[in-house]
Amino acid sequence: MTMGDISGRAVSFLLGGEMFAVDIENIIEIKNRGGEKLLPGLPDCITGVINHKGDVIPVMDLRRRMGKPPAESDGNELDKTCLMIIQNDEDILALRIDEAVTSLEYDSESNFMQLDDESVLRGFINRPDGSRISLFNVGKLIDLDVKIV
Amino acid sequence: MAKFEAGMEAMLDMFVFETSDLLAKLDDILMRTEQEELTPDDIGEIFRIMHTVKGSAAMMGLQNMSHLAHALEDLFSLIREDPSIKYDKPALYEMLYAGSDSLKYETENISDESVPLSDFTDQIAQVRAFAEAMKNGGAAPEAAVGSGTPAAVGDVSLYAPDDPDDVFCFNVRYDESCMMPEIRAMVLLNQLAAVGEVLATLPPDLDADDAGEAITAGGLTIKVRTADPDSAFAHLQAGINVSCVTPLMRETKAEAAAEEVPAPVPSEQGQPAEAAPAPTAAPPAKKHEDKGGGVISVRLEKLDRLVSLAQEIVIAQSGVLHNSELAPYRSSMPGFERSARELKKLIDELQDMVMSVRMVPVSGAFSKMNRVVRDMNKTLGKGVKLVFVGEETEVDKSVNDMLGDPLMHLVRNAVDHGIESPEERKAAGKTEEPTVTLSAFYDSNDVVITVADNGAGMDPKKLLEKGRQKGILTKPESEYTEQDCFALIMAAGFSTNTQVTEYSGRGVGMDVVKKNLEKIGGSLSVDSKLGQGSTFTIRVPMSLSVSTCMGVMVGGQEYAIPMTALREAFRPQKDQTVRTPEGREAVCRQGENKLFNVIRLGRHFGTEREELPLTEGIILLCNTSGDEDEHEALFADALTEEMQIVIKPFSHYLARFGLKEKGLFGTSVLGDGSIIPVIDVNEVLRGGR
Repeated sequence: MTMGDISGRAVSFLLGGEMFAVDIENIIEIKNRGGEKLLPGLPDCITGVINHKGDVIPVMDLRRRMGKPPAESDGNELDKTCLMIIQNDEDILALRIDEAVTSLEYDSESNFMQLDDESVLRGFINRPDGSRISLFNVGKLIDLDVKIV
Repeated sequence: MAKFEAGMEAMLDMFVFETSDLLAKLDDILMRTEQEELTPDDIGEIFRIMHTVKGSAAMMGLQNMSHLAHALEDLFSLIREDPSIKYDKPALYEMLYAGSDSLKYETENISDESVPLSDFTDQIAQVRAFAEAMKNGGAAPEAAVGSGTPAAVGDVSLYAPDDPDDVFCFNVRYDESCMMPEIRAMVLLNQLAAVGEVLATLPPDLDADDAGEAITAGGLTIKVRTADPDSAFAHLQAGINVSCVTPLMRETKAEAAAEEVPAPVPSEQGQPAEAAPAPTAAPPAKKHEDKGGGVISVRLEKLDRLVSLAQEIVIAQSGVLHNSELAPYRSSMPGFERSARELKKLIDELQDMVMSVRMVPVSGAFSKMNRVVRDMNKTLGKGVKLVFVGEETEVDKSVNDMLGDPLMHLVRNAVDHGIESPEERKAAGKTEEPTVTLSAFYDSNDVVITVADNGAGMDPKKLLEKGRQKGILTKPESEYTEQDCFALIMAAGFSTNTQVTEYSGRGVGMDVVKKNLEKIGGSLSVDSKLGQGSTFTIRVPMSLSVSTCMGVMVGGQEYAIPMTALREAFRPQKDQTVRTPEGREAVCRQGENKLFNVIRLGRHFGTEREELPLTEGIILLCNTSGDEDEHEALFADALTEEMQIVIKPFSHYLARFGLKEKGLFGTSVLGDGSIIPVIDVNEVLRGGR
């Protein structure tokens, strides 16, 4: 596998105390929660559907997808949870996240460490303060066949 | 490389749409007039259709189509000018049908580069020969057709005495058949701009009304300043329809310059006679477009966008009018309330209107069958009459588009297999005309279309025998009812006619037709009476989008059930309910003894909070798609209201989670923006068995 020069801009957000990010190319909008409807028979991490401009799109609870305890368990995060509407090819989904934080640049020449194609993460963005932000591989993230233990 | 001229991609859709429309109109006229008199109006109309097709094909650079249309146009120009002219009408119609088909084929395949451009030379020659024969047979209405010699105007020159050496003049001649040469000329000048600066042209104004005639007569003279006259020459020669390019010599160099004074307007004499119809036909063609002023065609995407916009307006409206921030002031704002009601009324009307726009009558799909029957009558000699009933019945455009293939198949089958040969009919003592009847009518939210023939009908025993031979029987022969036998012909690999004809009889198709109909929520059924004929019934939803549903509460959430699936809803009395020792529940209707097993929807969907006594909820009896007697009833907490909703199938992503198998069709977004899941009764029942 060749390591090409990878760079872009991502939006970072909080999820169960950790920082994650999604490339801005995948993001349609970030909005408040509301109007979620339950559908019987959906997998655990898909908590329902919402109306996005006339289309019915699934809501993925990212905490459940990532195997984290539900946001309801640490109540203070509840009011900030919002939906990040993302697109990957044909698929449009809403990701329920704890709190959107900021947008930042990443570049494999300076601050980005790339993973292989097998993970739901594309890699890690190093912050100047030494912390790391995990950048999602959106295609793998929404593909529920990719199991997260 | 695309078949049409570069830069015309934007026009492609319009061209295909208009041309198909015109050709359909042509077919209509031909069908109508084949057995009757061809009125001058019809002749004029055919002429105009051909003229327009010719023009637009030429515009697209489709020479073959343009030439063929031109030949047919000329032919009708003869008939138009001399209505008493004699011709062989059947032969003429045969030729027109063939021409119409060729043009249609070409139009349909224009974007498909794997289909080569057709060569219509033979067809054109045939038409021309026919026209020639017509002229000789009847009184020749027109003076001899021009031999095509271009008028001698090559010496028109634009050179001024003081032009520098890098200024050159060219005279460009177009093919006689070239339509709207002024348009071609403009394109050519644009291309020429790449190699030099165009200083002047003759005719000077290409937009002028007579520019086309002038060019046809005298060619296009171009004065251009260029450093590379050879390349300019090559550019001109490469132009579409250009027959010859003559570089013009400067007068000082030309020997006999003084002999002829350059004429500002090219002489009219020697103008090819064929050019004449074009200008004279222009006014009627315009008039024809005016006639269609009541109808415009809109791209479907635009319409769909309009539909979703109307829906979003409803949502925004309720966001404004029911805004909680307004609540404290509401009682003191009677004017606001009045305006709000007015607004709501208007928006409701808007939504209804937008929905109705997509509805089209089935008559379009029906009248296409005229042609099918006509062609088959020609080959099979059965003289079948096609009758329409209820062709004004409206269906959604998408449904209408889907109907073409099934109808074609069924009509062909009816004419080919259903109707007997004239001899057989005589032998059977049948006196009535062999008829295929297409009818359409509404039945709740469906449109039912039947294709009925008064032919031989089908013998269930023979069908069964055949089914056995083909090995497609699925249960013991004794269990086959008459209906089951008829249904056999819709099974894969079944053909009752041993003779495979041009039109049908390959034994594939009926099953495909059925499958395709089922894909859009429709169905196909057969009934037949031996000796009296067969009836094929297509049932399709009126609209793929809007359906009437009943809202039900299940586990605290509202769901919708299509009305077509519901037969009866009632709240059972205590004495109507029973419970087996295993805990299964069943109900019966008032005063009847038949028990229905109860499927609790809440339990089925896994959303049941507490077990509601049957007597406090609603029992739903359903119309199942299967033929077998139903033994199940659904149970919901409550009914809410009837609603008109647009059912959307699940997105590709959601579809993977087996929602359909779980018993959900899809979802609908209601007027206020909320989402309601729609229940697929058949799947729920299947799951419950």
